Amino acid sequence: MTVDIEKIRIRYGRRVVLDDLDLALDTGVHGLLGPNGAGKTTLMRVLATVARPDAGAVRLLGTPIGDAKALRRVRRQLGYLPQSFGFYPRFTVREFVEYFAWLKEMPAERIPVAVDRALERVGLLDRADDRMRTLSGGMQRRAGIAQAIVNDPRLLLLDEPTAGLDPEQRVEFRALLRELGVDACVLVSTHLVEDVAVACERVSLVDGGRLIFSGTPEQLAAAGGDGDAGDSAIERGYTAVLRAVRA
Amino acid sequence: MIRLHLRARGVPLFALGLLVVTVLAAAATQWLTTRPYFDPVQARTPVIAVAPLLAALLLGPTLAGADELLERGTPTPWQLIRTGHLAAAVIGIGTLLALAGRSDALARNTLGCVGLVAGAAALIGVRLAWLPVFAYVCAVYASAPALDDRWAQIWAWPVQPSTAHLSWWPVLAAFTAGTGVYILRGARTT
Repeated sequence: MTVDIEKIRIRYGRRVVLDDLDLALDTGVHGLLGPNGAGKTTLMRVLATVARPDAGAVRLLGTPIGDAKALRRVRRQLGYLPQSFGFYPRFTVREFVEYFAWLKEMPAERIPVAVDRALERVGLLDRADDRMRTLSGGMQRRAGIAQAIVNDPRLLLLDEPTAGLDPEQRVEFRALLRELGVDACVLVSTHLVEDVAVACERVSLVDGGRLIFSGTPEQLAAAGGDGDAGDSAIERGYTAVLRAVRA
Repeated sequence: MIRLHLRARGVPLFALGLLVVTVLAAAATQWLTTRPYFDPVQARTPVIAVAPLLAALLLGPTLAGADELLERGTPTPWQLIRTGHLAAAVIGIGTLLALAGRSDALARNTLGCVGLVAGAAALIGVRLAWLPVFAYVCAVYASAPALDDRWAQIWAWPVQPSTAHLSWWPVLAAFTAGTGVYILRGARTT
């Protein structure tokens, strides 16, 4: 398993954000759905190794992320795009991606080619020498995706990656996700259930810090009925599962 | 790539600011020590208190990247980088300010202010890291204790002469604790 977490628990003060959550993911594109405050971003941070659970076990890429050596090894094979990210306004797009390639300890001789390839995959090669501050919100998001994929990660974590992308870019991005999911485990946290329906092979649904559904998009769609809220089958399935858990 | 890291941390701006502080400190030292109505020993006190404070305030924003979480998810040995960053900063500030006039008290205040800024960055984040040290040094300077008692040597260390041996202890404590917590935890993220 690329991701194998058991009974992880995280508290922020009195509030339990992740509550004995189990999750196992392998190669492919996985969707992570849930309402606001469900714990999706915290879960992504745990998987990105920037937040530590108070309890439970986390194994990434077959390695328990306990000691610093293992953590470093895992991080070389990780790609992470947070929900919102700070960037260096004076950096060009190329410099931004190069910098993260360096932080990910890629061999120096591989960096120029890897950066160009990552920028090409997100459609920003023609803007490579523009400063980050001159980009639109959607382009900055794509630069963020480029830094996440520059090291060809085996585990790619994308938190709301399609926020700010126009419809055409979202279609292209879904194609990129499918391409990346051939060799890597890609976890996409999103509110857009239609992205999950089209691009993901499996979907996990969290609510109140717990995993309440895990299956294929078709299985999620099948959970809904005509009486459930939503404009599509998968939206109706999503609301039906949430309603059943909260009942 | 080190060049990119230095730019990501705003080090060129810090270096430029430090040069300006050094020039101002040298000019102020020259002016203050040539006034006939000032005690030559006490004349440099404003420079000794304020120059390291300004240098430490400039250092604050360099203690974190634009996105700490994003950077910390990378395999880079951050504790080592932070240690090097602080060591280079202390040496840089100490060396440049020494050009404005060598003084043990200047070195002591540099250590104290850097320790306070680093500790504040770890506890409250870089955006407000300047506030505690600025408030403390201003409060001490404003109250400017002429007292030579033991407690004044401790709490008013920024304005004490270097021969006030007790003034070194709180500075060493602030430097050790502040830099230690920063090196271990990094700047606080929001």
